[in-house]
Amino acid sequence: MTFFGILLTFLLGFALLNLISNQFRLIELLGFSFLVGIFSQTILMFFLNILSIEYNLVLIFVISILLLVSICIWHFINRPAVKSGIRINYTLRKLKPKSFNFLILFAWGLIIYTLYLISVKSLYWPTSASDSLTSFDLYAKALAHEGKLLNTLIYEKRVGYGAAYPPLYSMALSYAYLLGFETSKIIPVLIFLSFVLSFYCLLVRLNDPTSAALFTFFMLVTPEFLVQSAINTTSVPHAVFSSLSVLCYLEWRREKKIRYLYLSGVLLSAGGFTRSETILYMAPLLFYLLLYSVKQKTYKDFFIYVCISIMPFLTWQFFLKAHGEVMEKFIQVKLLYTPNFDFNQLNEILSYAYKVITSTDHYGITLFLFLICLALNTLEIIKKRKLLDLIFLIFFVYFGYILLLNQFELKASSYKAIVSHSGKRFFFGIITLMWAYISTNRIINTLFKKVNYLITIPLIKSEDKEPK
Amino acid sequence: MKHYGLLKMSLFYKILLNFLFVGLLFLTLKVTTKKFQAYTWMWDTLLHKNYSYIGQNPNLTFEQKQEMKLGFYAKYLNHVKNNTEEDAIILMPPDSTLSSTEPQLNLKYLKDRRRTTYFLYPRKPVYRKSYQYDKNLLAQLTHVAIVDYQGYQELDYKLRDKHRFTVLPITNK
Repeated sequence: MTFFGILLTFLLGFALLNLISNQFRLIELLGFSFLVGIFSQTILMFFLNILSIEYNLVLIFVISILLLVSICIWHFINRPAVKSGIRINYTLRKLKPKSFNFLILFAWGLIIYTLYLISVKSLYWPTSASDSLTSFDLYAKALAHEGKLLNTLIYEKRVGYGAAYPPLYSMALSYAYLLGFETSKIIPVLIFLSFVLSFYCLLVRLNDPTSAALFTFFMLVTPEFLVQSAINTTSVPHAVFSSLSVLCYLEWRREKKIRYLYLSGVLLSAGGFTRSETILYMAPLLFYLLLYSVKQKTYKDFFIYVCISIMPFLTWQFFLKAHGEVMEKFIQVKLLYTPNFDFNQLNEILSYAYKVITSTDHYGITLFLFLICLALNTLEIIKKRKLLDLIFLIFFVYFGYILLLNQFELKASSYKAIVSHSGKRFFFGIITLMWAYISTNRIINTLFKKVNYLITIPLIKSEDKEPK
Repeated sequence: MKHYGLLKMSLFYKILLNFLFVGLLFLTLKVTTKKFQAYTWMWDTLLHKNYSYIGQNPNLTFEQKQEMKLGFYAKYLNHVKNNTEEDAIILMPPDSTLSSTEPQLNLKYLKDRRRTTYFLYPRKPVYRKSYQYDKNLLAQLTHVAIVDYQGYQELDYKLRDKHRFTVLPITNK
């Protein structure tokens, strides 16, 4: 049952990705399927709740299978089997490597070894993180048992502030409990494994496989990120969805392949359905897209993107408002809607945030390498505006967090506690984006072109061309 | 033939260069790990120490792992869970009792209604201090959590053998 349940999630994601486009590469489908699948299943659970239907395993299975069959029928009608056959053959043929080098083998060895160790650790130890014990994992137990968001834990206030977070993560954990897992940690493990593969898939589109594998490894071993991937909280899944969404978006900007824009919208939507602060990623992406749409005078994609990315987030906010009398007590902070000009407070938050982002204990060499790459590419950035949108987004999200915190009226805790203890988790999304920048900037690109020329061993006879 | 020779030579050098670059990467990782404490801790403790511990203790049960990770309070709550029905409503001890126990027992965590619920759900732990939420349940208590010999006074029957930590039904039916 457990295996079937996970396989069903994966297949559902696989089918939905194929619905977006049948041009995704096999490795991309493998990377993104679980992420899209679990998101779609939690959306399903949420809408059942809105319709006042308590969800259970049978209901989820039946609807997921019906959805899967419908998509297959759609494919059968709209994309004839002959075409699909050609596509599969083509994909499999592309899997045969044309060349290799030991560096990429070493990097992949390190990635697989690290992922194996962290997954074993994660699956072995039960949930022990305070936030999860008192919020997400506890709420997931009640969701699995009672099948509804407004359950006894909510009415009797037996769960923490996490109950007011968008419900993707708790619902995903509840699915693990419904499947019969003793611990829900299979979900963070699968999300993290999918993330690493997806991150590699997107980097490899911007750079060569060797540097993509190497920098995927460096991103993976960001100390605090790896630690938190093995505990059961929302921060890593949120970073996974948000950063992948940004990278898909950038890929769409680069190649104008519409499938990446839609995938970006889906992932952004999943981010917004995990933590509300995804708004910090949504704002610049929607702004960029609006500018582009105005320039091109085509608004169809913009509206589709807006609908996909914002809908679950907004629906959750309406749900909170509609059930304000019971959910109010779980809202940790009050957001001030007028600008807060308390500069002492802003200064205080800035200094805490600076300490967090510059801490090598949290992020290792990430920030220093990012700043070095920025400095080395200054001319390129100014003249050609290369990757300027990615750089802008990283800074926007960082300062956005600080400004957002400044707009909070805290009910419990202090800014010091929030930024010093939780702040390190806020920045996971931009830390992964920093690694994306490090691996794709011109200096690193040129360096790896040279390295690749020196070390690539061809498996199929082809002419060696010296890089320009 | 000359072309063939060149290809062979370049392959040899390429393999040599491959080893050189792998060596360089290995050296970079070694230096970085040594220079930055976080990487050392992550590699040695988080990944390898955990892995070797798991290798030495592959057959621990879920509850044993919880007890290893969270201490005596997890062991006690698992005992409460295993000795009560799913619909049990359990009176938990007051903070004063929990504060007077040895710190190494970690019983301060029992003060946290949500943490306790995590272990006992769907059973309901009830605290007198949380009167606003638990007042309706106080009249429906089925069990009493005995901690540090405290709680026997809540039972409507007398016991000769008293345990320091246990859970007992409130009525002797």
